[in-house]
Amino acid sequence: MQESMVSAQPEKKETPAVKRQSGMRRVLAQPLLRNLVVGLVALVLFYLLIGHLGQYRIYQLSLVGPYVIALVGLSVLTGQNGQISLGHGALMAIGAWTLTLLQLHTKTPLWMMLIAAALVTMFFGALLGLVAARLRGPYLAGATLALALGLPDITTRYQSVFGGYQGLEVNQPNAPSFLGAAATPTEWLALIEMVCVVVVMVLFANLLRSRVGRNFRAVRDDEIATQVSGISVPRTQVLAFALSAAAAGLAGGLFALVAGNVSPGGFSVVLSISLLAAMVIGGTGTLAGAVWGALIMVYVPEWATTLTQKLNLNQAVSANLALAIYGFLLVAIIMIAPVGIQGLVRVAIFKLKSLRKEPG
Amino acid sequence: MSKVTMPPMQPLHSARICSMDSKEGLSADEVSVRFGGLVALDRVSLEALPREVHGVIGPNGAGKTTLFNVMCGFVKPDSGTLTYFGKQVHGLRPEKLTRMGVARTLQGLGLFSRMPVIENVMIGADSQAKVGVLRALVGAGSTVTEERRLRAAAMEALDRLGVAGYAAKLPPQLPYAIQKKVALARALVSNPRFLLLDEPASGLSEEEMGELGDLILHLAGDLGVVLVEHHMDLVMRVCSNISVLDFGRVIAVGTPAEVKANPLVTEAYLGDEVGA
Repeated sequence: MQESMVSAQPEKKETPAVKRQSGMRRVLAQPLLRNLVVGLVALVLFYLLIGHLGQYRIYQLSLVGPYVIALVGLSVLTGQNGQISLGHGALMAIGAWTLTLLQLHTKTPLWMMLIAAALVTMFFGALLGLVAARLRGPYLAGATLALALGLPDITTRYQSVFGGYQGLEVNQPNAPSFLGAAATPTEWLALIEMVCVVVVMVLFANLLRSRVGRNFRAVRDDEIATQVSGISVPRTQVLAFALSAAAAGLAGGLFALVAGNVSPGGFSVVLSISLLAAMVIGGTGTLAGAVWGALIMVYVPEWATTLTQKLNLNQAVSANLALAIYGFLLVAIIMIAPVGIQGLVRVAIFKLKSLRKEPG
Repeated sequence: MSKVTMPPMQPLHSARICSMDSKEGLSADEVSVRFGGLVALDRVSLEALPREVHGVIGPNGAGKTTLFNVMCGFVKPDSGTLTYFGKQVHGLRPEKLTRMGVARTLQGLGLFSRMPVIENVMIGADSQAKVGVLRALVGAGSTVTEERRLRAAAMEALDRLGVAGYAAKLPPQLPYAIQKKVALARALVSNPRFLLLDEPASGLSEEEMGELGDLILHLAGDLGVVLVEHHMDLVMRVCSNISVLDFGRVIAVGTPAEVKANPLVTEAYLGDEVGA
């Protein structure tokens, strides 16, 4: 990544080797353009893919989207900035209820509701970040866990506003007419999500490559040295928390749309902890790891259910099999690949590259 | 070595050297710090001038590092003031002071272990960066230009210290002496007016220490250096002025020769090292 940036430097363009670069190459050397190109390609592939899938498969895929976005936020916060959060499930809840209440009481367009979900959650994330900047390690884990435990109770305490245990219903948006009658709400939602995933991925990829991302990492590695280098540690930490929360809020909003309702049960502590586990399994601090983690969050329970049905296991076992597999994966991944699935992928790519180099 | 211009000899004071009229450097004035019942610094004054190497020596526990921590903003003094070019700066956070031109290195190096050397130094250059979060998020063109500029500045700082070849390495992969240079490059890349060096010679070989001495004298060509150090050879060679601390008080100030000749100093050190 860095190499390609260096090759884009003007003083090096004089060398013939760089001059010979094709136009496409030069476009890809620009980080923003490269990210956009990759994102657009992913979007088109996804559009083609859902044309071949049944409605249920599409619905499953659309469950992945919110998790990817939430995990990107969490992974940047933990892996890049060194802050742990057991409260991201609660932050997702804030985004979910923001969108739901807007839909219920106003006629805000969908895209604005999603942005509002992100911004409102970002505000609460910044508040949480102010607290977090004073706490380290287990104390921070405890404080954020308290949020995850406490927030769902607010929804049952103020039933008339938040809907209590039953929660509130969320209307799924209809596909616009230009897509024709062919696009069902499920397909439309999956597309909206994919757009959101691409946008979030591009934004965070840009961020991590910028000085802001570098400052995040500096705080993670050594707070005193960061301070001595002229960077405010608390300000950096609050910023990381706010941006991470914005992602969680957007994820929550999308989650509400996919689920068709919001209720406290959907945003329990289990969600927060599952996110954390999925982050570690996918690869902490990496954007691609968020995709692996999200796929695992959706498909492991699904496979576990299929497995229990095939093996005719009793109810007590089947109810907990997904969790058991989760735990097993977590332990296995930490033992064989500390950087998660994405770490394994990187090692594989590196080996393939060095294999290809040897004969040439 | 010959580059250093010796300032005029200063008369030796017993407890304070900070003359009230000259405010052209970084000075601590009558600074006291107490940790609970322990008096770490007792009305300590020190004036560091531009283009001068000021040494701070003293036995272990004399308060050298505490004085350093006051001078770079880590410790707020219970009384006394910190002045920077005539401006009161005590109570400012360390990052503010760094941005004003007071850089320091840390005893434990404090390199960012999971970031390549070049990025370590780019962090030091961050005070010159202006791109905000929004532009960073959308990946605006200015981000790319600025990154290129910071990278070039960091590379130059590494090159100045002869360690540019290690730019892509992670700090833990490097020998200690190289790591020290990287840490120094990170402090220098911000173009400080004052550089506080906390035991820069620890862990270095004789030869490396000689190089370090040359480097410090060279640096003093355009900035002020405050040096906390145990190696007396180095201190005596590079410093134009030395403050001696003992039990949180300044017991002597002066040129290396004056300090050497001071019986109070010899007593504090029980005769070893200084006399050598």
